[in-house]
Amino acid sequence: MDMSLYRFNQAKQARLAFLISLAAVFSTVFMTGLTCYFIAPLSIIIALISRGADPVLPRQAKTAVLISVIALAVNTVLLGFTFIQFTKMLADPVQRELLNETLYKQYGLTLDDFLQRAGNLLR
Amino acid sequence: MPYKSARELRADARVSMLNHMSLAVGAMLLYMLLVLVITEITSFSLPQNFFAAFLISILVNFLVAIIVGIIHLGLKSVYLEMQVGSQPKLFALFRYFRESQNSAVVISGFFGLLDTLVSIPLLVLLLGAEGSAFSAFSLPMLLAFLFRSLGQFLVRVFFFPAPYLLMDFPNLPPASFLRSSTRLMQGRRKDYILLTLSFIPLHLLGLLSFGIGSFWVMSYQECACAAFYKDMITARQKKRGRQE
Repeated sequence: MDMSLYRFNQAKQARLAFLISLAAVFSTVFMTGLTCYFIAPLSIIIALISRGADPVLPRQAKTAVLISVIALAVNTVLLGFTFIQFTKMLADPVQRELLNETLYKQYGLTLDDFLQRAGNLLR
Repeated sequence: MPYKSARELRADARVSMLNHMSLAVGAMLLYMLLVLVITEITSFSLPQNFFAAFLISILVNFLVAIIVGIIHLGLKSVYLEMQVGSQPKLFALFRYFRESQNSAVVISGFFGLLDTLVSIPLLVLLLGAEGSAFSAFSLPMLLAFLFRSLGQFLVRVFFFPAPYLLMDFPNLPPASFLRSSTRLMQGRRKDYILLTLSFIPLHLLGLLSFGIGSFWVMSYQECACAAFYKDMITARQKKRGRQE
């Protein structure tokens, strides 16, 4: 095995994993939603592969795993919080009416119309 | 016989992945794309008559399995070449359309036949449920899907080395690949199953990324399978050397 080539490739993949984990953080902060779920696991997988035959992960890969796990956790918490807020809003008649009015002004359809159409699509 | 542990095999797989990362993932991506295209081309509206629709489905399933199987043999050869340290090309994926065609068709046909047989319950249910999208998630459908997956897995366990043997010994008669495969796997099935099961957490991670990470995981698993075969053959050669 050519050790210098092996080390070069290992460092390359660890760096790639690190960059992808940074993208996961960016997506968590600026595009909270599903994007982080696409990116963070990919970073973890590449980081794990970059271990090669060594007993431990390279430093950059270890950081990538840590950052990705944190990004995933934060993204999940933010999504969960948004979902809870949204369901609370739907349960409150005043806020629901406000949402209906806002959506009607913007799209010409109320939230209830949207939900009804979504229900019809799923049926 | 001193075989490598699953941990060592995974380490070997990671090393070959690191040295050929773009090829390993690219080959898997191209293979999956080809499977998708072939499956789409061969999906058309079936006749109303259940029996005719069933027969056509079985036939199409079998033919698709043969074509996909030949490409899959090429895919396995790419990962084995990576494992033995040679420089494979992406187009090695199509190598069995040019060389050892007879053996490749017989092996793919055999696997295709077994695949079709274990798919029959699922095909019957799918034909019966045509038109209603949500019946695809019913319990019988799930059981049929599990039966098919389990059947395909068992076929892989019993005949795992056949694709690699075709690459190593292209001049052997096709039937002997299957016989030698079962003989080689004696006493090694448990290790192979454990090696495969050790990839479940990574596959779950791949699923979490909506399948994008699965290309890396599947390539990694294929590299580990090639390492498993290489180790199996090396250990046998060492044993034979000692006996002589």
